[in-house]
Amino acid sequence: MRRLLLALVLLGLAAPACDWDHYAMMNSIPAEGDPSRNPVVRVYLGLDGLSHSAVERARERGAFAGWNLARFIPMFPATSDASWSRVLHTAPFAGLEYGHFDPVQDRVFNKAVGGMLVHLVPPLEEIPFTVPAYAQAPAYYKAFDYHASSYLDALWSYDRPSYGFYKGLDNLFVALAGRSQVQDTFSAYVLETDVIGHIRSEDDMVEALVSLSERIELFKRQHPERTFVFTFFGDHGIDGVAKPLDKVVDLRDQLAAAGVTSVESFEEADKVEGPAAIPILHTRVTYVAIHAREHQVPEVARRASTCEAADLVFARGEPREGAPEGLAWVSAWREGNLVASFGYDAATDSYWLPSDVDWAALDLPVTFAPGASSGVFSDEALFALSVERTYPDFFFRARTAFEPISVEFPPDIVVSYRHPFMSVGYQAPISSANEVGTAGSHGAMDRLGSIGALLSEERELPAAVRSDNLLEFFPALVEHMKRRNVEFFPGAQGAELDYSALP
Amino acid sequence: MTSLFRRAPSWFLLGLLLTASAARAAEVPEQPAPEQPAPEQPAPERPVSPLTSLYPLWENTAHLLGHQDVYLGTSNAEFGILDVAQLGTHPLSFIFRTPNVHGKVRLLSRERLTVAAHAELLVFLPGASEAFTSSNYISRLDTRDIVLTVIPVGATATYQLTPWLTLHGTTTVMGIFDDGPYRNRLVPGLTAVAEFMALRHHTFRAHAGEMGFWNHDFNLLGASYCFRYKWFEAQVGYFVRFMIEGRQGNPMLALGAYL
Repeated sequence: MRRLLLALVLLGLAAPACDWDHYAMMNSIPAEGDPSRNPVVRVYLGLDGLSHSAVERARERGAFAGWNLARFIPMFPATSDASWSRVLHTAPFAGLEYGHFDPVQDRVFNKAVGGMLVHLVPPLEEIPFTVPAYAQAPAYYKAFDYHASSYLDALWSYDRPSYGFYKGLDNLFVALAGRSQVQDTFSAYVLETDVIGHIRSEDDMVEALVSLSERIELFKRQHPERTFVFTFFGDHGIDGVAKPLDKVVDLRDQLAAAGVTSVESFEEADKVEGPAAIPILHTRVTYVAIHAREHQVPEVARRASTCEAADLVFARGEPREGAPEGLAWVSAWREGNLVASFGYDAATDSYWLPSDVDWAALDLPVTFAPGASSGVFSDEALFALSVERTYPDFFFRARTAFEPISVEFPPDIVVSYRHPFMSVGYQAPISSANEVGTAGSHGAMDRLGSIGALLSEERELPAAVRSDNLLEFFPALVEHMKRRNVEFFPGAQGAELDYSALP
Repeated sequence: MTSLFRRAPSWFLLGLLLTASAARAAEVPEQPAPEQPAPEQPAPERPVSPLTSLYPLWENTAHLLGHQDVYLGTSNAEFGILDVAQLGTHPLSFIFRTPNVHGKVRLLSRERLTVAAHAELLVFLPGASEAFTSSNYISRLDTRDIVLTVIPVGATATYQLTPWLTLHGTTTVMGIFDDGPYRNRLVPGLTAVAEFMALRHHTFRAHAGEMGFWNHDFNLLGASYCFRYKWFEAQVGYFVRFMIEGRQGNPMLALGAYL
């Protein structure tokens, strides 16, 4: 009996490896479907950090010839988990990243380097116990047939991103070949493109994309029995700006110099004399989310804008005199000054802009009727005038940064960094590890890290697409997600655009 | 025999095996480990080739358990019948919505050569393809809405080339049956395992295989290690499947006890 008990204990110890048995079994059965049942297979690939500029450079080398390309404008701040949740309308992530502040529990989760380890926790959807909410994998994974190939994929991918990319492609195409035997739609997520952008360079990203294009053409030649129609989309761009180590900064230091005390809870903030705030530092991005008591938000935002790293600081704003009532207000601060404020009218999906703001200083060519103190602009008009500028889709993105759309606990203030500054995020105990991920980044409002790519063989595309609208363009992807039992959540109010009305 | 088990509830079979193993363990606490026919050498003094294959479906050995002997492990639960046959299952596959049963019968036993025939029945229930504990793993099969029946039938020859080298060759024809959308088909496969038994409790194996032949599906390469001490056995290995679309790496681990 002791042997039996020991055998059962050992069986329990081996449980983590039980996926390996099933994985071997399920991938060793050469089942074939009938191509006449699904002669066309639509393939949707979500490539993390798929920047528009890298795609353009890859196309100059002959990749993705004949595909339609659009600028794909993500949410602000564009950071992966929140952005994918928003693009795919899946369940909201708790914060913008794993490291987040929960104002209900008045607590910061996944702090510092320890908090980074939750990235290594594999999604464990089928186990009979629940992983703590703060470590659970994002819901958008469920939208994808394929998103990883081993328990510790995230670790290997960050260790050797190019190897991880090609290993991932192997697994992706094997899965596609198998699943397309019976599925008419296939979806997959590729993490490693983002890692290459952070750790390597845009040149390496271009190489990876050219290689992916060649793999797709090879795959099509290997499987002539079906027609494969590909669409790619990204969650953000990659700025491609290398960050000198002295520009990889801990904003808490600069906030302290600006007279703002950094704390980790509202309770702690209430005990502090003067402005106090809860900055969230997690990964190496070009923004910092800040939580603050409502009455302190304007002052914290003003002071944060004096920090050397800050380009613009966004926060909820105060209504302007003479403006209609019932508008949602957003303010932007720079170098201690309120440089912009505007209101949004949800009833008419339009924006109220004062004319005394120097919009040109923000590279936003807003024009008013002669003598007018303000103007009302449609969402489409503001999208069109800003999308090719320094701050693409400035108004919609700034407004929705503070709404609980793909984020359960949105920030009160967002500091958008200027180049070449970057948030240090975590501080690793090994100094060389702090140099990792400084080749490029994203998250700031400006165009370099913001403009992703939407690339499709399936249909023609406008010149620019708001990422919130992706599912409108690809109903087959929506149907596929439904078949995968993905729960859909409403997007931002007023996110829809009349693309036919855009220039 | 297969039809009998097709009618029986799978969990009942697993329970039967577990019960039998418990009773066996209680009755015969010091049952020696099963081994190849080599009565002149005491079992602990020589390495013993594992009873089961580490890689599923396509690999096997010609070894059999003795009458009423039980092997209970993470990958296999086996029960010996009359010293000529063996009945078993992959217990963890039930959790993954894949009821299964397999059997093996000795056809030939010579001093160095043993040959066994084997057959397996697996039923992939709806959802089996999505039943991984972690979505980091994906099945290339999609059985979300279908029942897929897979029946590999084959024979394995185990040949002791030298005292330290044993070869296992397995030929299999896998039947895949579905009312649609998958096609019914038969796929042949051939695997070979070279087992190096140089140390007392340790064996090392090299694995190779070709599945599909004229309608090639994949090649298999792998390496594995087996530790055997008295009634305890642990196998660990790494396999790579080479498909035309790319490679898939697959670690494997199996723990078990001869009860």
